[in-house]
Amino acid sequence: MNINCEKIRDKLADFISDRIDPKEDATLIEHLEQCPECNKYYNELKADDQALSDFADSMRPILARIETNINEELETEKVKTIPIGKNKTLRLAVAAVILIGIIFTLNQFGIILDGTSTAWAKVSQIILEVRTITFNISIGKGPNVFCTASDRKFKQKLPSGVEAIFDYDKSQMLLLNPNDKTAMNIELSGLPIMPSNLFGNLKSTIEVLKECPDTIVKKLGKKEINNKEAAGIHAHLDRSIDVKIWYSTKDNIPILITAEKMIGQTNVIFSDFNFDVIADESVFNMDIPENYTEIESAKMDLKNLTEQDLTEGLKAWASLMENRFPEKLDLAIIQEHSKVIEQKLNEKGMSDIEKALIVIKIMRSLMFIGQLEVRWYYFGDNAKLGDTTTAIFWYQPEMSKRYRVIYGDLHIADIDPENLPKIP
Amino acid sequence: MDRSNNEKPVFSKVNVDRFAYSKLVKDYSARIFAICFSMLSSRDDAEDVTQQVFLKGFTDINQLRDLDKFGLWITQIAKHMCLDFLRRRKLNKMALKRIATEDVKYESMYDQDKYSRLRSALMQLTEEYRLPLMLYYFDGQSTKNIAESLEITVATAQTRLSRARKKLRQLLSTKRGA
Repeated sequence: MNINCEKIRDKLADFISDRIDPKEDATLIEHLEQCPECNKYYNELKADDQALSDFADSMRPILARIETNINEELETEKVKTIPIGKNKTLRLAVAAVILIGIIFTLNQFGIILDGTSTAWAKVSQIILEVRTITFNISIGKGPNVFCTASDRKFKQKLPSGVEAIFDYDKSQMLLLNPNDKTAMNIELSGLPIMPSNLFGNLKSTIEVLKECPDTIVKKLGKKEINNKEAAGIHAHLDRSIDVKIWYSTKDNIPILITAEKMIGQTNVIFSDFNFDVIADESVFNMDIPENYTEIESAKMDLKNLTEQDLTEGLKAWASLMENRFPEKLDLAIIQEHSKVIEQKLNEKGMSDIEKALIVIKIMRSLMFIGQLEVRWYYFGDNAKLGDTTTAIFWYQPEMSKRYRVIYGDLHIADIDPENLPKIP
Repeated sequence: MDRSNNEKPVFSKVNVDRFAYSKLVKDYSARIFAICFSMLSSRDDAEDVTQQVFLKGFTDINQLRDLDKFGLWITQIAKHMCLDFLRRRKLNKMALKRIATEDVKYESMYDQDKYSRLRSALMQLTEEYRLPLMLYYFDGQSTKNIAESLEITVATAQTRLSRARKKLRQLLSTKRGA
């Protein structure tokens, strides 16, 4: 790079924003053609320009939300203050984490079920008014799972025949395995008030979407699904919800709902909806059938999550996985490793109740993370279980100047910000 | 009586209803968000403070003498409220600066979204460069708006913007090499 190049580069930044004397353009362009290094630099600046532009664009939904919130506040005429650090998205995310938590407990028994779905505009009212619904759900490349739901109850049946019934009012889950005629109860406590279950969540998600005008909605055109003409809508809200809804052009009833990257990178598909086909709620009966044998019952508390839950969950995971910690801390990891987890649990020759307790431990640790309202840092790859010197997780509790740091042997220390571990 | 001559009569005080104010919010939300984001280094905090800024603006709108100065006025409120917000974290200036830098660095490590590298580099820029750059991209790609928000000339805004681009490039290429 010669002196001329330096001068040219000084001008390239101006050139990027179209703020340069047109007379100088020719000199610049000529130089760029001759000098590969400056040309590369120019392309990098252009790429930065585009990235900055995209970055700013990615914030548009936030701006829309800000405007909506302000307008709402102005309307209520109680313009004083609004609490800082409590925004809708976060609360929604926490609720979603808890919900997925419930669903993943079922997963431990080989039952695959998950998701949140949404509909929009015309279809939303239909879903909000419906009392019971049946549908198929498939997660990633998983098989279709048949589900039946009302507001407060939920039931699913796997291809293997295993049935899980969840009763929100009783805070109870019943698993029925027709193959060996066994039944298992899981007692749940600390359930969120809303949403109540998958279907309740579907409804509340729709309500949230209806309330949030910053939901970006696009039409997807029309296509034929199951011999029915369907119209599509693509709705997404920030990065939290991204769904495509295909509904019948005849009666606006949803036919197919896909939720992108619902769990980690996994997509979820809802299909074959039937509305109000269940005459009564006997289908959700929680009594154990006479010819079934009840095996031990388990308990799962969904509240009072503490740091100890995190360390216990990490320990439970590492104990299963040759002392390695999970590569990331989100609920999708259970889904992604469900086969390995199942295999490892079986290898240990544990009772069903022991298996359930281990999965509940792992889940609680992930739920603790989901509820943290502060930044956290995780480097589980750095250490194996028992490593006393390598930090794997840290966060700064609210109002605290120091960080809580968890090491590979799962001891916890309070560390000043300047003494935090180096990022590997 | 020079001073009283400069003051506009009471009846010409700015008085906007909520509909007119909504329009102002729409026009200036990107600018205020850019300022808050730049000063607070956190998207969520910027969102919350931006809302507070505009709500305070509405409450105090009758203190504004000239509606043409709304942009400048609301910018001042934003800067004060950001500083207030930072102060409320009960940290002195030194600690604040240090922690803010570290937070950003670590945030970028776990928050592996598409823009994490860019955001991290932005947050490493000094305020002098970060603010013009963010204002430019958030607020209509206009150097005139930067100049107005920062109370500098358009030429100065352009110079800062160009320098900011180069600094940013430097940070991004260093990070890649690391």
